[in-house]
Amino acid sequence: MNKQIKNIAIVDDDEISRIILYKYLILEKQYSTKLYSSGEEFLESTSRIIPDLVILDIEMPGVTGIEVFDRMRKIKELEDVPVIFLTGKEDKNTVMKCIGRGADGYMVKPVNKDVLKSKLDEVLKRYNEFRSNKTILMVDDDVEFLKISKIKLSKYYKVLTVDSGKTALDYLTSHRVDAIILDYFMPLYDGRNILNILKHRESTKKIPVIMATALSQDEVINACGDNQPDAIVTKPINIEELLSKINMLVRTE
Amino acid sequence: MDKMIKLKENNILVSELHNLGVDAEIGLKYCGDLDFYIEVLRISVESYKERKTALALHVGEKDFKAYTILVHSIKSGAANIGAMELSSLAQKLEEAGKRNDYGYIMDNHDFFLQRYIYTMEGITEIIGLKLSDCGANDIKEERQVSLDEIKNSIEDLDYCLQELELDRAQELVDEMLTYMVAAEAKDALKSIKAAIEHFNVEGAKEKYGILVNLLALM
Repeated sequence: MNKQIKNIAIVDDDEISRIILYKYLILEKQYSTKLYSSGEEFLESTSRIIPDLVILDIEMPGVTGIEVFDRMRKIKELEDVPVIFLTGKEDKNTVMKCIGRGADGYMVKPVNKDVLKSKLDEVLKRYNEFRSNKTILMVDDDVEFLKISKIKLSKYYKVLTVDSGKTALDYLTSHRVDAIILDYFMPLYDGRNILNILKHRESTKKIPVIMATALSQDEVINACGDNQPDAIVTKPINIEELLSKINMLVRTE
Repeated sequence: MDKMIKLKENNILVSELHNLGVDAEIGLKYCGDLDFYIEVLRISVESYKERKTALALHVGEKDFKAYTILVHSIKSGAANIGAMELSSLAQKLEEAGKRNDYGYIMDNHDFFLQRYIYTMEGITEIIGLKLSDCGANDIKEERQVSLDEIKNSIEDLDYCLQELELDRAQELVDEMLTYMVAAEAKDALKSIKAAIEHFNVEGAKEKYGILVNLLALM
């Protein structure tokens, strides 16, 4: 499993439970942890950096863990974040409720340190394996941008890089990718024209496209007309944000 | 918070970059962590030498379209590392190019270029990189290889270019440069290497065609 720092969100109204989990996780240098005392607090204060995993207590006053989970799956930035439920009950119904909902796992309180570590490893490994089987095609005439992005993104995905839209289109006549990151401003075939072709081709119209551009989102939306990209990132790009968007689109697709 | 602590431990780096007009905290915001930021600085410096030459060439040939595309890239790259003044200068030149104000470009290019050189040479010194021609010092011992080995390598290279497996293609080309083949074939291989480094797959395939013809004649 890659050794990048993983951001873990712990959502539990029980302060002692939060502190215990926090203390277990800080011993593991690969985790950075944020604590939330309620589902509302978590959903309302989600920062720009999306957590890599959420540990979510089921039995909470107000918005329950199940409701938080359901709402997460309707929020674009959170819909693909793995969730491990925390429950005080080990009965079959509760377990089935967790799994049936689509959670990535569950743990029964009180949580043992070894169980916590092994569950996190298992879920994150499964999630990383899912991502590493996906291919991202990056199309940009800016070699520096391609090099920089490839370094980061290759830790999670297979990344193909080309400097022209024509090369990308030729490749896609006989190959499939899981997402395309497309520069807007390129010589000869610009991003908008490439996008237009992609959205009209039967073999490529469903591939999610992220448009990378120094233009504002409104300018891109106006310029692209009927054929909109699935997401837009503004250059200079925050790589973590780009990664979040890719994660979201690849999982949805 | 961890990032800020690490950044303050490197306050020599931060203050020296600041003297060049590079705001490391902005750069860190885009890059996420210090190690990656330094890697991005290194990549920026690697691109700089070629871009400096290209800027002068485009201005000399009055190819303002190519110039505009290049300053567009420099603008984003500069912002990525926190070189905001440089990015702003590039943006103004890009905007001038887009509105066909070539007089503005001619009047302001020299100042921009000086600023670009000053910033990049300064970063080079700070991060301890010595710029050198790519591959100039990578001289490996040549070896005799069989025709079969050459044929296999050629086929592998073709496959990698078709599949966009550019990292593997790069490795193959580096390996083939150690083969004892004619100078023209070596030149073709070096051209393929340069194309791959620029993610220019079409260019690499074109040079590959030349290489195949040259090797067929041997």
